[in-house]
Amino acid sequence: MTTSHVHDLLALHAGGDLDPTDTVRVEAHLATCPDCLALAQAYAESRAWLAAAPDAPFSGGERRAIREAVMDQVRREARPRVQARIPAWKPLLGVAAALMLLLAGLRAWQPTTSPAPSLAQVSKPQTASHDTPVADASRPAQATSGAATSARTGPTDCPDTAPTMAQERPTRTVQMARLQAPADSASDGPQPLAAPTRIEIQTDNPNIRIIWLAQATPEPTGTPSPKE
Amino acid sequence: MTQGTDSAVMAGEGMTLVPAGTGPFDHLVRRIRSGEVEAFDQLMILVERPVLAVAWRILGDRDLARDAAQETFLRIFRSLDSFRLGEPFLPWVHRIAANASLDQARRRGPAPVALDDLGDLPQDTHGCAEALAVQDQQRELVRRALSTLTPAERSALVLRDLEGLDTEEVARALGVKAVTVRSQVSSARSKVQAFCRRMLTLGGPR
Repeated sequence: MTTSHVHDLLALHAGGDLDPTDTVRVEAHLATCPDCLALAQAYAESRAWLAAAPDAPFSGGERRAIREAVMDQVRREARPRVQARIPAWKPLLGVAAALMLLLAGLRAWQPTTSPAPSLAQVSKPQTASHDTPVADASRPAQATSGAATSARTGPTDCPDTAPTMAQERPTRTVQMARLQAPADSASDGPQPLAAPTRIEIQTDNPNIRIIWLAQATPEPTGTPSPKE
Repeated sequence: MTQGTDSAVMAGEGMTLVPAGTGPFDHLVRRIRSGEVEAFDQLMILVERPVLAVAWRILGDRDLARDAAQETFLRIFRSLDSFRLGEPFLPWVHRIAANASLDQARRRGPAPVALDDLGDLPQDTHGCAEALAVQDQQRELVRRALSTLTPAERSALVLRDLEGLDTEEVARALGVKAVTVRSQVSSARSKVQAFCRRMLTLGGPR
């Protein structure tokens, strides 16, 4: 180990910043080298002199003035901080409002199931128009997408699954019964129609209209005819 | 420095220590975070000594040190949300103080004072409190000794030898590696030792 090498380490050795291996080597060298030992002592004294120096030259009044100036600024900055801490629930309000709007929109978009088709759609027998697709009410059929009732589907349901005609039939059956019944509500049951009746039901899909042609036939009198 | 030092500061200020497992400053930080802004004044009282000491020793100028100390306190207030409760508070304060002081030093752009500039020391000790005069002399000598260092050397030496932080804490405070801190401290101690040797040679007071 050369003297210059030890000199380079003495500054760190003075503060105990050497690793254990270097510390042992330096101390072993100091035991045999008076020049390096004198320099090590000089380092220790200068560190002690620096550490013994008094603190910053600020009186108690000056320190108080510094704190008051800081507190003035802190109070100004804290007003938005206090206000910002209050509305922890504001984001929740926004979420709740968005949910309510979404629900309202869904309800407005969903067709109602209770009202019956307009009586204007009920007409005398007419030639079926061929320009609009007519659904055969005698057979259950798959409704196309966008069919009337989508109220059965909720927000979490698959939006692409449209209710089938079989699902719609109960609603339409109720409507048909209502149409068949005359204004006299005292009747026990639906009265047979006197003439063929064409009943048209327009679904939500503008391209789909259900047309039902119904005609009651009188009960045969006398011996019942054998069933064929 | 660890929480033990934090506890010593708290006890010295006459405040009750909080139960083990929580930082001594944590209850003040919680109160300030909850909106009790006036509690920040109590926090400043607890940390103003190291803040002012770091600022003055790095800058060597009262006015600049006062500005740096105010900036340090404001940065502490604005950064309280980022402080992890339970961690030692004073090293965090030291880091902010050192950075604020170095920013002030960069704005000023100080140049190191020549080693042989030992003239015009406060000499008149007659007719006034001798202890205060001696203190003023010592402060002035320390200021001149530190002015021989670069800002990086000065901040490393102040935190390591005067504020008592270990090498790792100094490295975190200054945002450098530990090996860099050792290099800066070694260079700083050599220059301070050379200043003292020069002072003795010129016959200045010790």
